[in-house]
Amino acid sequence: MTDTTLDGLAFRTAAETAPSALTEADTEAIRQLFARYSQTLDFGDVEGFAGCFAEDGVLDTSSPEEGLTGIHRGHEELCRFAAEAVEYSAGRVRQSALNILIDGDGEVARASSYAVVTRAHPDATNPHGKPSQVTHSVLATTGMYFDRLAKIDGRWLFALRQFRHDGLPDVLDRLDAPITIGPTGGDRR
Amino acid sequence: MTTGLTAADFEQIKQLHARYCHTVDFGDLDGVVGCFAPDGSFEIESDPGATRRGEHELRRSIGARDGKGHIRHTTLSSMIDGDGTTARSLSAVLITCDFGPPAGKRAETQSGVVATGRYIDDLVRLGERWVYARRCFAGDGGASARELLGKPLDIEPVDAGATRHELSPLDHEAIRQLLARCDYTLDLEDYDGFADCFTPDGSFQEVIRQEGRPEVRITAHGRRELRQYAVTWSDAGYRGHIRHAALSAVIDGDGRRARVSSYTFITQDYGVPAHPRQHGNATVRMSGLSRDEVVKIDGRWLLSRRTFRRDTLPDVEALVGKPLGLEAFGD
Repeated sequence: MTDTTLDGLAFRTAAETAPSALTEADTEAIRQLFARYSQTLDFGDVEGFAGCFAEDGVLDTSSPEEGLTGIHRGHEELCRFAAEAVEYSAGRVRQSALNILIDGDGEVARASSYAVVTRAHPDATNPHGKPSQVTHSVLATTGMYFDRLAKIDGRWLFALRQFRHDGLPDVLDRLDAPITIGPTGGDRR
Repeated sequence: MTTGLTAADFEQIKQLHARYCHTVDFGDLDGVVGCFAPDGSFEIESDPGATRRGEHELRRSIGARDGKGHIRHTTLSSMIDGDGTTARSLSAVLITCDFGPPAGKRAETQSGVVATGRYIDDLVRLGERWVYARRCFAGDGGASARELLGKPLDIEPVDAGATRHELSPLDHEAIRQLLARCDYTLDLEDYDGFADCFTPDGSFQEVIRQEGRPEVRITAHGRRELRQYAVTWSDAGYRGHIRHAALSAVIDGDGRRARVSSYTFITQDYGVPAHPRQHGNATVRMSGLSRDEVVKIDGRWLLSRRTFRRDTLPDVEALVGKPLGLEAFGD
């Protein structure tokens, strides 16, 4: 039984969840999925990106770009999202999932992680008039990923990935509440 | 090499690091306390008076924290060694602060770097859980970072065990820690340690482009040249103030060799803050893409070929719109 609300991590009830029943092979496969998500999205590999999701998988994302924000469900919408995202980013945004907390069992899992996003710029200026590297990067944004994952035909895929910029109510509303995900969090539920 | 930790130990310790950051940043005081042994301590290297030991002190210090809800502590990479009951960990950490919701697509940034540094951890196993016996934060740019320059890294490489037909979770972890070791030894001038991340005939290659100058391709073959590369890199400036971190590493291969594509995240600190509560003494300097080939020799993963390009250079831009591949950049 799954909770299909978009309230982040409420994937199964506490009684239904078997904390940390995942094997190390499962958690590693999920870490690789996260890395593959980042690299396919950032470099505009739209098919590879959509392939990170289950057939009816959902990406629910906040974005300052109107066409990117909102819910993108299924292969076609996910491909369209990735194509628009790389046009917006010009292939120069790099996003990574860090501080990854995972729990679940051999069939489903949930995860919470931090997003660190940079943007690279070609830059010929140097305030000192000396030769400069022709590229630099800035920290563009930070945020949170909240994920539900499913193992389908031996592969871990996103059933739902939510991204929220830090500072948004969806993130700030989590203040002062217990972190109930991950091996130790499961013990405390 | 580290032989006493299993893939499950590494996974638990990494998730402990993640849990610490989540609980601190979101004000889950019980969760923070649960990351520590009953007499565990949190220390700030530059401020001995800030040491907090035991549940009461830990709870008090976290509860009074500034920037609640907007500060993020992010563990970028970790190296871990130990036996089955105790462990040590050295992690690169990025501390950021968001400025509120995104201001629109023209906004350059929605968050800023507060600081970069290291978590130096002593861990102990309590039953089935790993917890901190001591967690110490050391900011980059401080005196202790200067003292580390040129000293050998004292975290052992991961022993990934016997070679199998496919990559194991332990292989993946050993490869990620190899990338972290390569970054750390380069940044902290452990020249021999940097060269030892490579096979005896391993190579490193990158392209440097500077405005108004011809493109330069730097290649180092073999450990002697690799060591010299690290010396030359250090002499180029920013001694001890640059930090590299490998993020989002996609790894594919078999039990003997693998290819890795990872983001290289490069920060720079500006030295010791003018006063302890000053924010913003580091910045993101550059990002790039590393494409590596690694091999397993006697249980240890080593770089046989490392290629690196800064983002926006033609070799990286040429990858946009193509299926993700892990091939090294060409010579």
